[in-house]
Amino acid sequence: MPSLPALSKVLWSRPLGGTTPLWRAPRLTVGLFIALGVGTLIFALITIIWQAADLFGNQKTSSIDIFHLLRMSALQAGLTVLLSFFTGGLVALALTRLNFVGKSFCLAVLSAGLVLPTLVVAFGLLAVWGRAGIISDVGQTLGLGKLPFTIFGLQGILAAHTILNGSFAARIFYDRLQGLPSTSLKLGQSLGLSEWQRFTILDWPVLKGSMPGLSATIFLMSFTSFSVVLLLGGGPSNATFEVAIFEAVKLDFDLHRAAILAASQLAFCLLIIIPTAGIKSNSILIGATQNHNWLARGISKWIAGVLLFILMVAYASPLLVIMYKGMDPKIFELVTSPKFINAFITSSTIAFASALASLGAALLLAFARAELVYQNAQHIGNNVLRTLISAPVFAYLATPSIVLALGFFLLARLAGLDTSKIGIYVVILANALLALPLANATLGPPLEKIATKSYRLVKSLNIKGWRRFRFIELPLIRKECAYVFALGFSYSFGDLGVIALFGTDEFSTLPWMMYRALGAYRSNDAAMLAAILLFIAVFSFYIFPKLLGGRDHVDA
Amino acid sequence: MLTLSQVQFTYPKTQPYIFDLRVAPGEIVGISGTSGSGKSTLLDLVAGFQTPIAGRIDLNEHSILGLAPEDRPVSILFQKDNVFAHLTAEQNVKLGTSDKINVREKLREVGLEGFEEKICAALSGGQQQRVALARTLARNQPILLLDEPFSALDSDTATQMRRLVKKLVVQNKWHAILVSHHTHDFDALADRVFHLNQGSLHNTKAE
Repeated sequence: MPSLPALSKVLWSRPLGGTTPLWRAPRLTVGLFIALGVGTLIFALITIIWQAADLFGNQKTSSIDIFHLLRMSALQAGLTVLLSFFTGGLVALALTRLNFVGKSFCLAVLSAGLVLPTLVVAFGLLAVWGRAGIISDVGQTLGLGKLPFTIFGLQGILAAHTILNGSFAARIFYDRLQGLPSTSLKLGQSLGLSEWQRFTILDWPVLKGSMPGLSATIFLMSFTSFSVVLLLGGGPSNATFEVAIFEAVKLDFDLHRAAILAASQLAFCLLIIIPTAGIKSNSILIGATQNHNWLARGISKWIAGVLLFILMVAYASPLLVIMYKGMDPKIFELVTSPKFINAFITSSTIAFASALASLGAALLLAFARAELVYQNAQHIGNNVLRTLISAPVFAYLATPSIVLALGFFLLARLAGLDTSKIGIYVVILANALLALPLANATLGPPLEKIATKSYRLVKSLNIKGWRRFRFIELPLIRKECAYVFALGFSYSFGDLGVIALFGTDEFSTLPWMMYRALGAYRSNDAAMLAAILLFIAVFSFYIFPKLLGGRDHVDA
Repeated sequence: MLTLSQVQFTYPKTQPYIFDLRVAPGEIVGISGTSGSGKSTLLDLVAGFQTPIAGRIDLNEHSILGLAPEDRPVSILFQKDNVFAHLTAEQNVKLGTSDKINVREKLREVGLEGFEEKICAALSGGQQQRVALARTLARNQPILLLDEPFSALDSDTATQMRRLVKKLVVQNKWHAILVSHHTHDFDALADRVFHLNQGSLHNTKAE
């Protein structure tokens, strides 16, 4: 963190190399305000959580086994990282070695892993491996009896997390492998490297380089997983911090316990984030840079094909089963019911508003960072400003959805507001904040790249403000903007983490409605809602970039 | 003799290429042309990275068209990325060769004696090209494809490398095709030069 004297020097003097005072760089000023606003909000929420016990005078805290929660959260997250790397790595290696009809569809399925509603994936696993699932049905039809294991517990959590994160890892690994220079691949192929040599010399260094950043991300996503553990955890022995916080607030209304748990989770997340913060993040939008495919031959081709088939079936089967089970004739009855229409409108409103807010905030922050490049001033203040602008957007990594929601929940109660009435605004704001790091990571690098490439020309032609955005920046980042919007929309549409604390009969979203249906053992309704959620999340992720994205790209 | 006879290739929605070329043992044939004219495509066809839609590619009257890239009697030198930077010079030279090869001797022939244990990332661009050349020597394949191998080198290093390549091609009677944008590459190395224009080769220099 910058020191106070350095801060004051930056804010009140001329930070941009002594040429431009802050007030004459509106983009920078706006970006700073947004960053400070986000930072202040997060800080306030954390403070409120920390002081919840005193503020609410709640003294009925029951005993908390933090060590057990930590062990369980860390164990499943660590195993998820290993399993995701193993399965995702195999899928990526197989994809780089094969060329087949439907390869782009496979890649699309893997990309969608990022926006699949976790609740839906967990439900999909139940539909395949549960007591009343497809496998059990087939086994009983064949006279094999019941399944010898249950999907509930650690194995279920790991399976769901591996589907979600393994597909994500596969996509990232594949993109990195596609980034190998064509010349290296041609050279390796021409030299007749064996499969093992190809893996150790070409593939492994690339995969290994992606692993530190990716493992931190996957670990945190699994460590703070909520819906999957809630649905598949199978009881307190497998509970994680997120679920324990939810239960403390929603079931026991023990805010003190919730606050201690949230603070503990926050501390553990920070322990992971701080050492990994220096790892350079890579943009999610990585185009294929390679124009040479080194395809496997003979036995290697068959092994790659069989492995890919098995893993893709494992990834996709829960989703396919959901679509199958969701195709119930009663779906028309469901979608025309007032409850569904109400939840659908609420979900759409939340998703649209939070995606827009997230896109807007990420754009303004990225503009501010790009402005530092446009000013092209070598000044110590620039580094301080860059840190100030960038830091708050990573707050989500330390304050996951349930913690953020709890903070808002407590803030609302402290302010004497009716949580059911302000719920929609809180959920919009929280979801926008949750999508902000990814949005920022997607928009920041291309805007800075544009600034680096064109700042001399832009300055010499004196292109400023709206004209600069309209003619220089927007044409080159339309795709990224559309992607950020789609990501925010899909993610928000399927989120259960924030709504879990605010949801009621009156204020309901589709994931909340599905969760309620599951809790009431209305599995047919849950299946139909899961299918609808899955369709909307994937369809939005596909359609928004098509509708909003231009043809141009920053690399063009 | 390396012979390309009516070798045809086309990318979608572009004009087809038709290549006719003969390269004698110990000869270096230069190919010039503007960017996108198909110079690298010609090398890809000989190396097996692209498959022609018609024509023949023969070495000493035996077709190499049916062979996969890894089975073709070809060595390649690119502009960059000719070595795997995280491996040592010795490991790089040994790739694609038999274990019995005398790496020290090959490195000595390219002026890198004593560099066996050096990680290639720590070597200069010119030294990395020499390591690649040592591997080419070790593999001793009859066809050598040179895809602008001197473009990333400084002037002095490029001059030394040109001399070395010329010597090795003549000494080992390799059939070499050199693709470049620079006339001084052709002046120093090429026995004949063809200009690639509108999909076919046109002779510009004969000796």
